[in-house]
Amino acid sequence: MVLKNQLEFLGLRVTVHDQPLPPLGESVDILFFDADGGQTESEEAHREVDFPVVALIGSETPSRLQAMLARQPSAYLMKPIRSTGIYASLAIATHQFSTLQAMRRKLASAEERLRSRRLLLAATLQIMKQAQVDEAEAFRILRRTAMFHRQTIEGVSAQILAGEFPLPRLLVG
Amino acid sequence: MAKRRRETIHLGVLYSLTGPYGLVGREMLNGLTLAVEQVNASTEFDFQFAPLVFDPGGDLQNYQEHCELLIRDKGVRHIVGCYTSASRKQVLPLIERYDRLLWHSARYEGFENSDNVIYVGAAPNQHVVPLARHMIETLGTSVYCVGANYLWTWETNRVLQEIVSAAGGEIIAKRLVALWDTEIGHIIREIIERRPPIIFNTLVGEASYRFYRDLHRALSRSGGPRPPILSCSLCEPELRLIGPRASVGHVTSSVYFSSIDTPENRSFVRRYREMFGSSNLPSVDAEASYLCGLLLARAIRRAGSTDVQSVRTAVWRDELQAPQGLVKVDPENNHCYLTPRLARSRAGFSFEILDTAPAPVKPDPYLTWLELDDLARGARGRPGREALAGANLRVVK
Repeated sequence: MVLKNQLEFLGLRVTVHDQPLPPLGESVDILFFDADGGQTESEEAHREVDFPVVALIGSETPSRLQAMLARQPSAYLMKPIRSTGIYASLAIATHQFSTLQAMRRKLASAEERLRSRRLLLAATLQIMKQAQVDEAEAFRILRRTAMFHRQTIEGVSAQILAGEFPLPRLLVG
Repeated sequence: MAKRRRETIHLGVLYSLTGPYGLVGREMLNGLTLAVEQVNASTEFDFQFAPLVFDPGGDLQNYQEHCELLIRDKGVRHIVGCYTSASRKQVLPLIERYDRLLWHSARYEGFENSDNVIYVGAAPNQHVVPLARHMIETLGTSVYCVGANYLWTWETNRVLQEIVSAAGGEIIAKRLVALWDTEIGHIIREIIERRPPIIFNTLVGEASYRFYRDLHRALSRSGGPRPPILSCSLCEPELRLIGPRASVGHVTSSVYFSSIDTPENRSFVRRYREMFGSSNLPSVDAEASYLCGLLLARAIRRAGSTDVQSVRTAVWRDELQAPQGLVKVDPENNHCYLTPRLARSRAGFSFEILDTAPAPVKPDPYLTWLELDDLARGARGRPGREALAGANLRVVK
């Protein structure tokens, strides 16, 4: 099979599975799948992928394309598979996948910060009341404390609200 | 034009005459044979076709091997063949690599336009779209879909769903069996229980015939209205296989029925019966493969050669008065202008034509020009669900 030969030529260790896929475990770095095989989207397809996926596409009918996209490919090859393009697909898939992972991490982090906004507000209000300062000064205190203790503002806010930072300690920095 | 000696042109033929869709394969071979005989007997062509027929028996590997043999060993330039899209996808890389021409007689789900294929079978805007339009305008917008787990079912269901949704309707259920699995009892039971007003059937082969028979029997036993069963593939020879009572009253969308009343078709049907038996009526697949043979012959004559590029350019310029009406190849996509029709099966294993498109329809394999708003508008003023059950179809035109 052209794909297997070329991938081995490029130094990859190749295992061929029939669909539906068995659980793949830790050892897989990249998956090539036949987009023409199997049925419509399955639950398995929508799971978040842990490694780059490359689709092998024969049929361009929309139902096949939808089923293919549900498996979140980072690159694709059109059938008939030739040796040309396989190396490029490895490059594109790994790049796209790492970009995707980076964005996922950023997104997770941003969502976390969004959830923590209430905490931040509550902590700021508490400092304003206790230290009798305005909002800007309260926020400065909060930020200084976080920096000094090498924590996130959100983390320190939670601790302040839990009573772990009595006022004198806060003002000292 | 200079007189040339009557040379022999070898024509590759790849139809499965045995196997799960041997019936269709034999139909298509019949149609092609009729064309070959016609060309060979005619003084208007200065060559003879010699078909090299291979039967892959429905096996994809056989398609591959036979196609290689035809191209590499026998040196044929033109191959008439394939029925399932899987078989076409299998041989297409070979056909493209060696720059041959595949004459494709089967209707299919679209989304392809290879330079090395002439698609003579209907494209989706010529089969499922007219059926959907007819359904939402005259029958209703709630439909129960039954089919097999393969591309034809997935895609035609998808198009039907898009149109039905745009018209504010719903797909009541989609029930699929494994391809070639004939166990449909659970679907019959569900239909009797839920009584959908309309059924859309994309089953193929024995499963389909069993479905019509068993549902007919179950409805007779349980009483109540019979929902119309719609299809894009039910054809004359299949009516015979389903049986005299169960085969009546089903609506099919197709570009050809043997009951088309034109001089060309009457002649075609007469010659078909003379050659293949008076109890046999040609189906849409037989007409399409007949057209493949004629279009190819006329293109070779026009080009003065079998060279693929010349023949392709020549066929783009042809206009053929086919049994179904005027047929020509669209140079934009290598598909054909064809005339969609809607018909209802009647006693005697033939169809009564209900509606004919006013002119041949330009092929749109990628459904680029599908106008969902126009289609949806037609659904307004349709009778309600209860009124439809058991209602007779009214003639649209």
